[in-house]
Amino acid sequence: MSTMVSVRNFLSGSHSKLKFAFSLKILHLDLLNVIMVLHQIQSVILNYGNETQELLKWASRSGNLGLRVLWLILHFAVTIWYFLLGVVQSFESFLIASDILTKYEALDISKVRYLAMVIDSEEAQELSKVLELLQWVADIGVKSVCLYDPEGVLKNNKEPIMQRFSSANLSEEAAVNGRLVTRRNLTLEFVSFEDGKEAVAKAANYLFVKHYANGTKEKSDFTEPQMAEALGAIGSGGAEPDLLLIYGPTRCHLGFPAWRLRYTEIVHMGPLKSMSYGSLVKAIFKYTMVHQNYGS
Amino acid sequence: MEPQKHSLVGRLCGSSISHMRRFLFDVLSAGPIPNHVAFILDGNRRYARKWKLGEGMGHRAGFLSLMSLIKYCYELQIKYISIYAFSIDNFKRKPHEVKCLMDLMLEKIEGMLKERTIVEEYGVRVYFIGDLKLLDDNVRHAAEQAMKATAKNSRSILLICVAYTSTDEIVHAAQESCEQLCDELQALKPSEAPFGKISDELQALKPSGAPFGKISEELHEMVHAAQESSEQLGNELQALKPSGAPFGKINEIAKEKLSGTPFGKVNEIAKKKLSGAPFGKISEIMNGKEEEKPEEKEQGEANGEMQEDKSVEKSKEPSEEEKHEELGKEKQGDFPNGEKLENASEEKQELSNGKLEEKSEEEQKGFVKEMKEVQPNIKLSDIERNMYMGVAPDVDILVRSSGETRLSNFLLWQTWNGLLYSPKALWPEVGLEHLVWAILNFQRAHPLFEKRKKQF
Repeated sequence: MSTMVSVRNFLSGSHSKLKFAFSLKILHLDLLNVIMVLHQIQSVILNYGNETQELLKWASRSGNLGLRVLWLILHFAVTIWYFLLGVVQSFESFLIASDILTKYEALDISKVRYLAMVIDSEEAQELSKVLELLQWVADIGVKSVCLYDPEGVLKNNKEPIMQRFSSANLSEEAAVNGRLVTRRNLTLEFVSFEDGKEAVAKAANYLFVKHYANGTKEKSDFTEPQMAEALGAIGSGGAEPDLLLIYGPTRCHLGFPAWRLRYTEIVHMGPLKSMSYGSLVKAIFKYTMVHQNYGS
Repeated sequence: MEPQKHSLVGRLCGSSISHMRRFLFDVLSAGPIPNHVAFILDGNRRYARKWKLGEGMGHRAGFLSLMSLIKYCYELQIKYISIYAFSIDNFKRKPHEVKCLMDLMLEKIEGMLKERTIVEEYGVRVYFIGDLKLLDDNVRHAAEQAMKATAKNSRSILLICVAYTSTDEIVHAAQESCEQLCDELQALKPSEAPFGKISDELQALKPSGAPFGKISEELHEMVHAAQESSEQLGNELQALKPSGAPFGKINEIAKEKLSGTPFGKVNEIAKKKLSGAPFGKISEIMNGKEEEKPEEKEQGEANGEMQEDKSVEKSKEPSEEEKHEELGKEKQGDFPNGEKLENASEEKQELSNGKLEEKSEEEQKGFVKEMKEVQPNIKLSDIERNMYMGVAPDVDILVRSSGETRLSNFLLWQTWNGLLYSPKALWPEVGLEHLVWAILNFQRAHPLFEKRKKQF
């Protein structure tokens, strides 16, 4: 009681303090009860804080979940777009193959001096498809082709391909799939991943032996023709292709030798399993047209 | 009042667009984000012609779109951005056009050095990639300043390729690797070891801090097979003080190495040498080594590499052996006694002073001959390390504007596992939607890229 009196006296100094003293008086509290109330308020606030934290955590998790769901929806939309695009393209290639769209007949094949084809290694194991594709390429009139696959699957299966396309009899007519096909020859080159980066390391060794033989550097720096010569000397030389067709799931050149890829036009044809004669013709035609306009 | 209202509305619109963009980026970030994106800035001149802007205005418009694309990339947390600003082929354009581009570049670099807003905000480190010697002095100087000024940043990296072509980069990397190999082979300082293998083994020795102990152990193993007094030699080696062996001897040791003895044995010889073991011992031990060499050479031949050089080497061997025997005999008299250690060191000094000039000429010729037979071992990792673009990982997405499908000698080496994207828009027209489409395609193809990365 005495403490209450002293508190009251202390608080009687100003208006707000009077209010406080008044409220205290109304509530009939002594100091101990005040402290208990404060404790209770504190615990309520803390609980509220915990709950808010929990709420925020849940919100962020569900927010992440929400974003993830939106991402999946976005990709689903992209997949639908590609599906529709695929339908349109296969219809177009059907039209081209049946000679309905006649503009593709005026194909000037001499513009394609060297054609390169990058085939995904897993798909390259289906040799029949590769042979069919090469037959189409030969039918269009291309004379030399470079075949690349990163793991060297085509290199290992050289024999059947070479046999088919490098026979001694030039214009033998053979029955293939019920159609009479003129047997054409193709100059084939088989390249794999090692002919790209590893070959440059070997070429550097070759150049080292050639130019650093005196123990000190010869006066000049290496030049690009010297590197080209070195690459040729170790067996990874080869012409630069004009056009590179990628048969694979992604539009990526899969490590085709960098030295030969400088000004090559790169076209993605889709996976090998969905290859079509029409898309091949269209790609080659587009290449020849483009280079007609700008000059090579 | 009116202008204020406009700016308020403008600001609201702007901020809502940026909020939407940030939201879009948040959705995209739910999937894999590329680490390195490259841009070929093609189509500025065509844009200028299309919209009838003045000459050089196309490049400025292109610069604006570049800045906004870089900002978007950094918001998406793409760490490495490369841009193809100027190719070595572009030097063939009309001189005043080249000058215009160079002036623009200089202006932008200096602007970046002064203002540094994007640089500071995103912690950008700038690299100028290419053969910078081909640039004008003031541009090159500004570029070097910019590289130095931003060297401390590391959150994002911007690689600006000027005077760059991929083939030039490959040739330069090969050149650098050859130079480094040449330097290693001619290493005159004891601390430098010829060929990577020796230096690796030496480095392995260094932490142990007891080179003599190790070397004497290896000496034991090695020499025991060749000579009977090997154990004495080993003990005496431990007792003798190290001293810097003369240069001529080192060359000789290097020669031994280069003549194709299997690396293991020769490494040991070189190790002993480079730890400062005395002059005479080594010649003696080398004597012993010579006897073993023919056997080991047969092994080497089985690998099929040294067949051509075999005959040349064999003819040289006698001369080497003669030299070694000469030295060895001088020493042999002393060591079995184990008493004349001081004499040994004196004789060593003599040899080092007197014979050095004589020897060095012969050895130089021998060295030259040896170099011709060397099988240099420049590895792919050496080439990759010496590339200009060695500071960045492989490219994930390459964007070339204007619908061209060529790479035009840009990053041919680094895009082996990257998506190529060619939007038809000219460079100043390339914007957010193209970037988003490229990233969506990257995310679709990402599992395949990861698989291929593990394979190679």
